[in-house]
Amino acid sequence: MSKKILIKCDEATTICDKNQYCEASTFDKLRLSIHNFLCHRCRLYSEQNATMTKLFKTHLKKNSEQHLCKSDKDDLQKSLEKELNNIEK
Amino acid sequence: MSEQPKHTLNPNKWINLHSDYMYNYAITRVNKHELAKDLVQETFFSGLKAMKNFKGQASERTWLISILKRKIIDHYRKINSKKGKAEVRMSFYEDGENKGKWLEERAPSSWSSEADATIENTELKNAIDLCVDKLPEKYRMVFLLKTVQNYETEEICNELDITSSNLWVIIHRARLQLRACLEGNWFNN
Repeated sequence: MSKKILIKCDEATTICDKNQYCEASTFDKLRLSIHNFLCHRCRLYSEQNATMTKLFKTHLKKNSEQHLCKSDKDDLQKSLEKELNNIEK
Repeated sequence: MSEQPKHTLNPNKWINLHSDYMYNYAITRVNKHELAKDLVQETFFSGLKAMKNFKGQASERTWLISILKRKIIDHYRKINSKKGKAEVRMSFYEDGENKGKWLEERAPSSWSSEADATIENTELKNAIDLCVDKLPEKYRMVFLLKTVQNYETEEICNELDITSSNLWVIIHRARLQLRACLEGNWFNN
């Protein structure tokens, strides 16, 4: 990205996305603020993007440890043994 | 004469000892049960074929995981090269005097019902899950690693062998698509 202070909407939204993960630089945040001051659409985008971030935090959760069920393991075991026999031959 | 015990491989015990760990590793990254299971199986098969190359320096599990990592990158490359089909409609003018500005029909509009957005709500959760599910696979994978698993950018880039600008383009497109989907299914109902 170039070093100019005035940016377009596509760049502004990208910075806003990075900012959702706290990975926008200070300079980028400054450029975003200036752009949002001038652009009502991106201002709205930024507000809604922050809402989406909260939403994902609340509703998308890490799955706890996941396991293979017994029948999956049995299938795996069978195919592995078969493959092992093929190789040993 | 070396004191350090060499690690050995024992394929008959792989399923018992490592399959859950490997499945968990894979499902976190690919988010689909069948696919994760297949990747684990392929890893075991490749492991069998490569047994003679095992030098005993790493533990059995570390060695298997390194093969699995390779499989996940290969899978990501494969879905990444299926161009066109799943491409997201972009939201900005691509050229001309309006280059970089919002396309009229894609510009954000006010949401009518966002007040309760962060309240635990099964219907809303379902709407989000549905929208995430509709993302193209490569977008979903990167988006979930970043947003839900909270992986560092660098970590994802290493694991999927992509650049950080690639990653941000993907995140950007994923969020644009999610936003359009949620707008249609939830906020403007």
